[in-house]
Amino acid sequence: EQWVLVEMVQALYEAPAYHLILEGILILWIIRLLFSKTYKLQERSDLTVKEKEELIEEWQPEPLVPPVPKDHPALNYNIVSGPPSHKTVVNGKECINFASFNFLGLLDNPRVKAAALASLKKYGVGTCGPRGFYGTFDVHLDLEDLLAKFMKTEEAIIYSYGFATIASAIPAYSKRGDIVFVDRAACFAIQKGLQASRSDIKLFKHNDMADLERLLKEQEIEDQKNPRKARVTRRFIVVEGLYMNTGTICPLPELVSNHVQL
Amino acid sequence: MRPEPGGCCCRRTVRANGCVANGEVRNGYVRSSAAAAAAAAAGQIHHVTQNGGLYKRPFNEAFEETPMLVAVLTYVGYGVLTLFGYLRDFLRYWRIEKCHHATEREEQKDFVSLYQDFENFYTRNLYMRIRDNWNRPICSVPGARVDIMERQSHDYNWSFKYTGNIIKGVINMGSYNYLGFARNTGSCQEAAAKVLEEYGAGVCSTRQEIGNLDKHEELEELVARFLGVEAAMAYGMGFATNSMNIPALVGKGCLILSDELNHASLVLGARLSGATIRIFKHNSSGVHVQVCYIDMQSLEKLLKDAIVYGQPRTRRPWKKILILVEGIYSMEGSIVRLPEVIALKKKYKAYLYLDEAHSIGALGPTGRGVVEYFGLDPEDVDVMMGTFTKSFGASGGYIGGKKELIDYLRTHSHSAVYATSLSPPVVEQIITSMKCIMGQDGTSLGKECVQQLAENTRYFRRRLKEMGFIIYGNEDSPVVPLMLYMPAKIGAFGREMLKRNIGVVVVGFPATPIIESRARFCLSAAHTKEILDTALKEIDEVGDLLQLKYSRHRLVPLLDRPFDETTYEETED
Repeated sequence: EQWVLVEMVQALYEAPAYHLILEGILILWIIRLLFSKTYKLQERSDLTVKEKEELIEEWQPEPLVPPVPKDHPALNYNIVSGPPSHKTVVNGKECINFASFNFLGLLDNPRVKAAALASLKKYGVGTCGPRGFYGTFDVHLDLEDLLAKFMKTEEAIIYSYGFATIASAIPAYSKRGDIVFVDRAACFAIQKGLQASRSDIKLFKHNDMADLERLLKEQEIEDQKNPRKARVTRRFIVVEGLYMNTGTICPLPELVSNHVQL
Repeated sequence: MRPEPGGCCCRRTVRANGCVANGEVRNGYVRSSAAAAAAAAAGQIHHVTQNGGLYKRPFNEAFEETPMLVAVLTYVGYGVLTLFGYLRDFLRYWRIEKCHHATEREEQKDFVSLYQDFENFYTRNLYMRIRDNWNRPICSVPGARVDIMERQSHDYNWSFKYTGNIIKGVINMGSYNYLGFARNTGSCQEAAAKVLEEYGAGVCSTRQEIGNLDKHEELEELVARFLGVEAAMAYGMGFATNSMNIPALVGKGCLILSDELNHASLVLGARLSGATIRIFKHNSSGVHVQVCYIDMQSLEKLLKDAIVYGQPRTRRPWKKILILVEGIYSMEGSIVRLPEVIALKKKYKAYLYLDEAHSIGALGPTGRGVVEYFGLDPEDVDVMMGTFTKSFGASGGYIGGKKELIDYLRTHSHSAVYATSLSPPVVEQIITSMKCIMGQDGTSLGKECVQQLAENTRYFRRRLKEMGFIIYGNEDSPVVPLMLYMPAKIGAFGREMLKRNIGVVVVGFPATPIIESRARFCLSAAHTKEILDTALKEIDEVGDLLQLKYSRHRLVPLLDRPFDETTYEETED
C-alpha cells in the first residue's frame, strides 16, 4: 500500500477535534523536552584533585588511644606469686584469698594435678587446631559424655574459653528478629552474646517474676496483632543460675512454670 | 655454568641433545617462552619481580583462574545435589524416609522451630554426606604423625560409632604446628610440668582482680622483646583477643577498613565495636608491572574517599581510621602486602591492626613474623596482634604495641576485666618455646626449626606445582591450599588420603566461595623430607585418580635439584 498524501490530509480533516488538540499538545511537549537543558537533582560541585589533596593533608585523626592517667586504679595489677589457693601471696604479703572463684577448692587438689600431669605427658600442652581440623581429642569426647551424664542432658559441648561459651551460644540460636527476655543483672558475656546476635532484647527487673510476666503478656498482645510475624519469631529467656554481679540465685521453679504456660 | 655476578640465582635446564633451554628465568623457575606467553595472556597470574623500592625481596603470589569447564561442572554438581536434597526433604516430610536430624520435644512441638528448614538445607543435605572428613578425633600429641580413632557410620554419617581401632602414625598435614612445638617430651613439656606442680592448672580469676601471676608479667615482657615493641599484653584465647579488644580501640564515629577475607574474630570484633565497616578487596593489585610498585588500589580508594567525604550523612570527619589485615590468610595462603599497606597508612594517617595468627613464628629469618619477613620496622604497625596456638604449641593471644596502647588496654579491655587469665602451665610452655625460638635457651634448635619450615615450604609447594595442581597463595607461606572445586571431590579427597594414612583438611562452603573448595596443607618443621616425599607420592596418586591436576601452567621440573634451593646447579654449559 502506498501512502497517498491526499488520503492522509483527508484523514486529518475527518479526525475529531479533541484528538487533534491532544496530539498537538504531545508534539509540543516532546519538542520542549528535546530542547530543554538537562538538570541535576542537587547542587553538587565535584571537588577538584587539589582540593581533595588539601582535605587529606588537613585531616588529623584522634590518637589511637586516649592517655591513661598514671593513678588509674586498674592500671597496676596486683602481682600474685605462687599458686592462688586459699592462702596466697599478693604483692609480697601473705593473704587469705577471698577473691578467686575457687569454690570447691580444686585448684590445688593433688588428684587433679596428677591427672593434668598425665595428660601433659601424653598430649603436650596445645591442641594446635580447632575442633573441626584434628583438634578433637578423645579426652574432649570423654568430657562431653561425662558432662552430659552429670547434667542429666542428652549431649554436651565444651568450649576452650569461659567467656566465649555463652557469647557464642546465644548468637547461634537467636538471630535478627527474634526476641530475648533477659535479666537486667546479666553478666557481660551474655550482653556481648546478645549484641552479636542482633535480636530484640527485652530487659526485666532483676529476679522479678512479675515484671517478666508483664513483658510476656505484652508480647502476647503484640503477637495477636501480627500472627504471621509471630509464627516465625523465636523467643528465648536468658537467666543465670548464680548471678556474678549480684550474688543472687534465679527463681528457677517459677521460671519453668512460666515458660511452660507460654 | 658460570655463577652470575651479584649472586642472582639462575638455572637453565638441559635438553636431551645437550643444548641449554632458552626461556625466562624468574626466581628459580624456568619456563619455556611459549608457556610464559600463555601465562601472560591468561593475565590472571600476578607476579612481582625485583622492583627495588618497597619490596626488598621478590613477592610471588598466584591465584590461578578456575578453568571454565571445571567451573561449569562444579555448578552442575551443586545443582544435582540440591535437587536430591529437595527430594530427600520431600521424602522425610512424608515420613517415607526416617528423619534423623534434631527435632523438638513433644512438649515444645507448637513452639516456633529453632531452625528454619531452609537455613539448614545445606547442612542437612550436603554437609552430612561428607561429614566424616571433619571432627576426626585423635588420641596422641598432634605432631608430625598422629593417631586417629577410627569411626564408622551405619546411617550415612548421621551418627558415628567408634570401632575401638586406632589408625596409628597418620601423617598430620592438618594441625597448625608450624615450628613443631607440639611435643609431649622435651624441655618445654618438662618446664610446663614443673609449673603445673607448683601453681596448679588454673587461675580462677580475672587479670584485674587476683589473676595476675608473676608468670604473666614475665611472659608479657618476653613477648615485647620478641616482637621488638615497647610492651605487650597476653589474653586467654586468640579469638577473644580480637573480639574483645577491637571494641576497646574504636567505637561509633570511627571507620574500620577490613580485608574481604578476614577471619571471623576480626569481623566479630569490628561488628561489636559499633564503628562503620568498609571492605576492600583482598591483596588488590594493579596491572602486572615489572618495574614500579604495585599499589593497593581498592584500599587507597577507600581511604581517599573516607577522608575527603567524611561520615556518610553528616559529612563530619572520621575520628580515626583503623585498617584490619592479617599476616597470612589461612584459607588462601597469601601474605599481606605489608610495605604498601604501611606506605598508605603513613600517607593517610590511618592506624594499622595486624593479626599475625598464622604468621608469627612461621615467617621471617628468625621467626618474628611478617614484619621481619619484609624487613620493616615493628614501630610502624600500631597494633600487632597474634596467637600462641599455632607456632608456640600453647593457647592464647597477645597484643603488642606502644606503652600507651598497652596501658589503655590493661584498663579498658573487656578481657582484662571479665575473662580469666592464661593458665600457668600454658604460660610456661609459651615462655620456653619463645626462648627456644629466640635462641636464649643456649641451643640453636629454634633457628633450625625456622629454617626447616622455610625449606619444607618451598620444596612442597614447588613439587605440587610441578605435578600440575592449582595451588593458591604466596611462595613462602606454609599454608598450602590445593584446589578441588567439585563437591564430590571434597569428600573423595579426604577419604582417599586417610586410606593412604595421610590426614588432610578439606574445606568447602561456607568457609570458601562455593565453587572454590580446597584441601589445605599446613606444613611443619617437624615434617622431615621423607614424610613430605611420602605425602607427595600419595597426593600424586590421588590427584591422578580423582583428576585434580587442573593447572594449565606446568612448570618444567628441574633436574637433580638439591634439597636446598639456594645453591647453584651444575649443568653443562
